[in-house]
Amino acid sequence: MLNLSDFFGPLNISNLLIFFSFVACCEIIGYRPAKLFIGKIPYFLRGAIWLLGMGIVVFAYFLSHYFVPYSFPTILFVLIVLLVPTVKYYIGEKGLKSLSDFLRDNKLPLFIVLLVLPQVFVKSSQPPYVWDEMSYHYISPYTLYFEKVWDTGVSLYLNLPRLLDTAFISLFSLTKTYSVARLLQFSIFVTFLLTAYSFLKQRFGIAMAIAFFVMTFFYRENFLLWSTFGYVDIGTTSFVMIGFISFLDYFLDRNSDSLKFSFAFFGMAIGSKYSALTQFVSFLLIAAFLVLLRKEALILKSKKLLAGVALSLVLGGYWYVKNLIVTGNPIYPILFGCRLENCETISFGYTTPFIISNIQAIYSRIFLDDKFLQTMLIVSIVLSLTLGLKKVKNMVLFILLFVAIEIILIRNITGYDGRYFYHWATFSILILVAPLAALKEVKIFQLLWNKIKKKAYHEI
Amino acid sequence: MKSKITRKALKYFYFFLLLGYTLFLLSSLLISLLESFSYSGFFLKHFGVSLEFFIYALFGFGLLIFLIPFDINISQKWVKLIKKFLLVNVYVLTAFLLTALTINVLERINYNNFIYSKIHLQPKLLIKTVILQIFSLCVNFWLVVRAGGYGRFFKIRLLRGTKVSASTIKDSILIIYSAVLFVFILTGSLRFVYKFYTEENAFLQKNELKYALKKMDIYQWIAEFFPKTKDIVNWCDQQSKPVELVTFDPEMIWMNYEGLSRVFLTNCYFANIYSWNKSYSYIGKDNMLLVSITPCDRKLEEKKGDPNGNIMEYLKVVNNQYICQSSEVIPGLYLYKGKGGKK
Repeated sequence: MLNLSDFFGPLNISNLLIFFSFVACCEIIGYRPAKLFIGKIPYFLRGAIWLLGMGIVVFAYFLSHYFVPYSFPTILFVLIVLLVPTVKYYIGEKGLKSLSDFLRDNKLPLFIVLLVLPQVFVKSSQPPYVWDEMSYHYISPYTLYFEKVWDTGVSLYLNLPRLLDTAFISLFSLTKTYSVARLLQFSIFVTFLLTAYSFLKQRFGIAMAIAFFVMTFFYRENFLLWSTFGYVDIGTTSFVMIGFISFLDYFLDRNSDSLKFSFAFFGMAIGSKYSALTQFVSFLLIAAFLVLLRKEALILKSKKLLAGVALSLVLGGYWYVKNLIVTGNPIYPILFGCRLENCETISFGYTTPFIISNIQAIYSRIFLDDKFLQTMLIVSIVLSLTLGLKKVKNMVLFILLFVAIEIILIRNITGYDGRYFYHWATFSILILVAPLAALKEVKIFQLLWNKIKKKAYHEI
Repeated sequence: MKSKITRKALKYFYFFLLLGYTLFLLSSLLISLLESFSYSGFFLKHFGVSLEFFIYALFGFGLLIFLIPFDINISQKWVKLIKKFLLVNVYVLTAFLLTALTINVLERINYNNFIYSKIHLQPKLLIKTVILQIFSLCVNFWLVVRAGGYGRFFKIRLLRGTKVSASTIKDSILIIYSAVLFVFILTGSLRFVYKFYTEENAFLQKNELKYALKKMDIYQWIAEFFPKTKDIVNWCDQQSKPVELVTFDPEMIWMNYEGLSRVFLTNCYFANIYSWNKSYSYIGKDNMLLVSITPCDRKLEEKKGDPNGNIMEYLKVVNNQYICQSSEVIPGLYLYKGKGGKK
């Protein structure tokens, strides 16, 4: 029988080795499908390919649980089966080299991460201690070993999308501790920031990139601390934001591959949490509009959109299919009830409704009541729209449109609650740092830059 | 050439900027002194604010004077004055920084001396002061070097008659915005890292460190966090085959942190009765092991639950009936043998 002392240990070398091996496997597994089914990997997304691999691993692990328990060695078999067709391709295409090149190019943020690593180590080493992670994100050793196949029913927690939870469970089955699961979410968060950094550096300059990285990483203690919890909000926000950044790339550059990648990441977001559904729909509406605007044959346009939706389905949408089959409603229990008896509903009474009188309260909570940042946000919106930099202006308008559609979609269903809208806080930071993109154009900096360059030239 | 009025306006603008800056500097010094003597809430609150104002004003001023070009024939007297002002500023700030550092060190080592007994400067505030001081000192030093050492660049911008165009105003606004954001990010990040390591919840922090360093095992952790259900978790750990523990207690199902101990169960599971349907399949069953952190309430024993009312109220009554008719195996765990089964 099971022994409690074997479980919930803190991080140690063997756990870390297993964790990094798992991430490496995901990287290898994600590389081939990304290149073959999605397209050329945009440079800024190179560091995030392991997330797609993780999505595929979780999908296979999810399917396996219709036949076998979650417990060891199921995940090992899943990984081996998925590695067989991908590892040769990865080596042949020099996947490791492109990844190390990417990391070398973007090493600056990694040094910033070092500042908080000791405390992240402590936070990650903890056994479950926060409410929802104990309630349903993490499962007990008993469930891991004795739940033979999927337990379905009307219970509130049985039919939620659980992509990240399942990834946590896969690591739990390998290491018997959730410490590595906590580390996984932290890694997802860092991966998102690295992706954003690389994208912003490429498009808007290093000042904006570094400011965004530092501000988001050190956004009070919230993001960082919550990335070590079993709550999946940070992971979901990371997927949403990577999807959004790819989408932004498509919007600015009309690169179809970026659009496909954003479908993939938004798919993973909806597979992780219901709250990402409105962001997905908001994205889908804008994407459909942008694709339809293009001068292409209608059949090509619809093919693109359908391929995107299919990608989302494979990487996260399958939770909704499961829900549809079991309860008759893909989004049970948030809306519309179910076909079974004693269906439950979620009450959103604790959220702040989206009504005019609450605008001020909601706005102030995006920045945790920080008056300074709230004022700066308004200044930055005005600056971004008037500075005359087209891409900055487009980006800010694009974000505002995205949020506006989201509000229209969600206002009759639920209200505002901080952790469901972490992406708004992230958007706000993106807008806050947007004017920095124009620093490159300022004469004095150009003058100084030329002077430094001249001096350096003379010294050489 | 600009008109006389514009030149005058610019002169006044710089004058007021200078005045404002000096006032901020003085007021922050005054408030910090008042704070150190009075040690009361009002100044404590305003000390930080004044410092922040001070740094922004300083930074804004420095950049404005450096960056906004104007075409007035400013006299050498003015240039000298500004240079002198910047130099004095560096001296004042250096002195202030050294004092702050000394007091900070004395406070840190808890050295009971004259300063400590008479001036109650708080180390937390002082860290902030020191950081801001170092930063403002750097800015000032940079300005002085620019004005004195390589003066050319500074003088050119100050004296050469470049026109104040829309783009230069825009650039200046952008630079001020960036500078403010930069200061905010820098101070905010330092503050964050400090806070991230020294959280307010010391109890949790202490246990977390112990657990991470293996100075506390999982049993001790559970005993700390789940005083009422720790025995059940340990009891489960000793079972040789899977055991079902039935939970009618709404506290265990929904309300109480103790109910979450279910994530630590190894050889048992809690069959939580959270719906009417589930309750039908358990009510009436004999030989059940029940988990409840709510003890038997004899006053409630006679009360009948309403099967059409609120499920939580109903389960509360049912749980009480079961617990009162069961025998306690270990704290929180009861054996229900059937009606009248209790010895």
